[in-house]
Amino acid sequence: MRVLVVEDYGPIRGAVVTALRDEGWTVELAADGTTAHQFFKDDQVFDLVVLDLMIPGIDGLTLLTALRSEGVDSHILVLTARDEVESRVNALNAGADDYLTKPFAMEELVARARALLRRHYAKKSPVLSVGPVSVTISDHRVTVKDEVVDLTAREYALLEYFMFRAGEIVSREELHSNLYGDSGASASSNVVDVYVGYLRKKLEAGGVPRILHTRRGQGYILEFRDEAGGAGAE
Amino acid sequence: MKSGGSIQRRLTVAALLTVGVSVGLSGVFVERTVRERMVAGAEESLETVLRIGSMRATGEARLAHREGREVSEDLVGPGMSQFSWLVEADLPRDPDDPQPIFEQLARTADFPADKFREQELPLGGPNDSGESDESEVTFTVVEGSNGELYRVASYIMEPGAERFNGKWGGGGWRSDGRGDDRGERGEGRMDGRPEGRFEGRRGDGPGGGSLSRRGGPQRGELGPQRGRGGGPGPGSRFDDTFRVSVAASIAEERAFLDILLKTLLLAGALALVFSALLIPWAVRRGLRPVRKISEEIGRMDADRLDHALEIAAPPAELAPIVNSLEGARERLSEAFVREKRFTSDAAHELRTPLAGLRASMEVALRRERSLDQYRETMTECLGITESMQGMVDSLLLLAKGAAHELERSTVDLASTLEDALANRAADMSTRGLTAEVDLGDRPAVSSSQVLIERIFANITRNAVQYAKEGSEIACTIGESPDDVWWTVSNEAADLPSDTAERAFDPLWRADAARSDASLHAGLGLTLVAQCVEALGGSVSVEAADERFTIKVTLPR
Repeated sequence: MRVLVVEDYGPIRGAVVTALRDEGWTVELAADGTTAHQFFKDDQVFDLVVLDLMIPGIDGLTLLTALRSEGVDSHILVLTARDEVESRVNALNAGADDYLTKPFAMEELVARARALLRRHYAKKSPVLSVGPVSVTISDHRVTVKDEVVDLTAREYALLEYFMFRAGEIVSREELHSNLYGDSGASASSNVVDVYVGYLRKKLEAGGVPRILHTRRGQGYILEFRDEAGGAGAE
Repeated sequence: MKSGGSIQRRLTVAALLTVGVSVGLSGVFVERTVRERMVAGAEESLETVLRIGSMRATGEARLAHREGREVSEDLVGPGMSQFSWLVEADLPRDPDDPQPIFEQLARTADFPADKFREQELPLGGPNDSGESDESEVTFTVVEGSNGELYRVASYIMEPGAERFNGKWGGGGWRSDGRGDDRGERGEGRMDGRPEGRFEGRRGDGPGGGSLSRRGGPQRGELGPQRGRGGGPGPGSRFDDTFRVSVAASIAEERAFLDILLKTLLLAGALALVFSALLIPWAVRRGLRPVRKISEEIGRMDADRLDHALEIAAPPAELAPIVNSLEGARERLSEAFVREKRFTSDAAHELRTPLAGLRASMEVALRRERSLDQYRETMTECLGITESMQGMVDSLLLLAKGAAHELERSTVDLASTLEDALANRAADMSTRGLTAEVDLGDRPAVSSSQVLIERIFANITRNAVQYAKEGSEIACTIGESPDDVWWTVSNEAADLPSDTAERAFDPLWRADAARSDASLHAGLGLTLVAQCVEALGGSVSVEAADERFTIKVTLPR
């Protein structure tokens, strides 16, 4: 998951970033509208943008309008310091998906972020399941055949992303940027393979058939096939 | 609050007093006028009767006296039954005494003679000043034996007076030059002619009054006529002095006046009663606008301050009150709006650091963190708390108003500025700023050290916060004969065009730029403005060519 946090007030920005990183997501941050806009100009893709409306540079509402007109389809959660109906309505009308009024509880922000991500991937249920594997997003609980599996933060983030995009081919670059942000996207892409390896090992521990398949030259796909297809690739 | 008494009561009492006094005065006036008119009318008619009937009465009286009758109804002329008569004569007793002494000749039965004779009537003749009386008819009011009141008209008939022949209105029996008469008479008596002598006139024509008796045509003696029955006929003359009195009851007159008085009293009482009912009502009605205004004011509260008082066309007396109230309301309303905006802005400003505190602590507590992470969080929270404290201090200072802190002393501007810059040294080096300082002749000014320190602190902080990184902050202190001034100037990019106008608005910040450290920048210049104002100086801001300059001028 890639999240961009746009907030000018340091303490809040820091706290939000920490909380979202705790979710295992990759978080980029910007202290003003101009910097934030630059991320999109650099063709970076975010699943979620947390956007404060009162920011220096390009103000939040203008940035929001610009992003939507540029075709950015990230879900956008707006933070507003003033609990005025008008500013919230304006933000929603300008393309925001949700709002939160300052001061807010961090739990709420995180919960709304999760909900927006589910919506981003058209999932209604807070529990993502593929075959024997289930992931409860809110508390990062992973079960295989009802057995709880312990994953590291990286492994979990990787699995969560696969689960959200179940049935789709996910490129190594996408996976990398979700794990490490944009830094060194071109570099050692075998880091992704290493983590996929760890993840497979844990998921297949009890003789569970493979659900995380490799598509040569394209990336990976999370998919549950019946026994018949068990002799799959690799 | 001490009550100043009720206007309604005062007006009511004043109006009632006025009504009472005017009703009373007009009553007295009416009563007096009517009484005078009645008395004058009654006296006039009595006088007429007297003049018409006196000759007959005198003649009859003499006859009756001679016949030894004290009481005779013959004195009364025909058609005059309601009048009673008394005729007295100045009987000669002591020739040396010029004063006449009247004794009764005869009277009618109902004449109130007893009381009348007790009266001291003027005896006629010249008064002390030697001039003749206007009228020799004397009026008195006498109580009769039956207790009834009579008005009595008396007339002294001098010797020689003759029956009036119809022209008495001109003064025919008015003995003009009576002074002469008297002397003449006395003389005459001494001449041994006590009776039967007279010099008379008749048909006194116009101007006759001025003729002396002596100059009049001599007449023969009347002697043969005296004592003759049948009374004096026309042209008959007497050589004695008589006093003829006629009396008429004034019971009717008194009764009428009584009724009049009672009527007036009743009317007055009624007027007072009605007034007592009407006046309070009228006063209450008149004071209705006051109540309306008071109700309108009573409805005034913080929420309705922005509504004008709904008092259409107040009475002229109340217009000034309404106007000044309206003015007060407007001023209050403005102040209230300012306060409200300030409070709301301040709350919003405090909300941000509070949200930061909360977020930082919440996140730190969400899961186990390393010691370094905790330390970092606490350092951050401490920083936020400190800046909030500074902000609250500034808010308090603004709320209290800076004026009361005025305690003047000699302030060294140069060293105060140096101190302020020294306090910013850390921030300046972080941002790579340098200061170019021109202290002039290090002028001193008699002012408040506390406020000037605050001014410098806020100005330098503002400059350090908004200056471009690595740029130079220019500070200059200067003086003129009348005042001292200083400027602090910094390079700043992207200054909004309304910076100069809005720089002193509370909580306004150029570019809405909240860098981490700038939490109370918005209050800074507002404080500066208030402090400068308290010191009687002026402050201005110039924002042009990417340069922000603030200039403070204080009187020496």
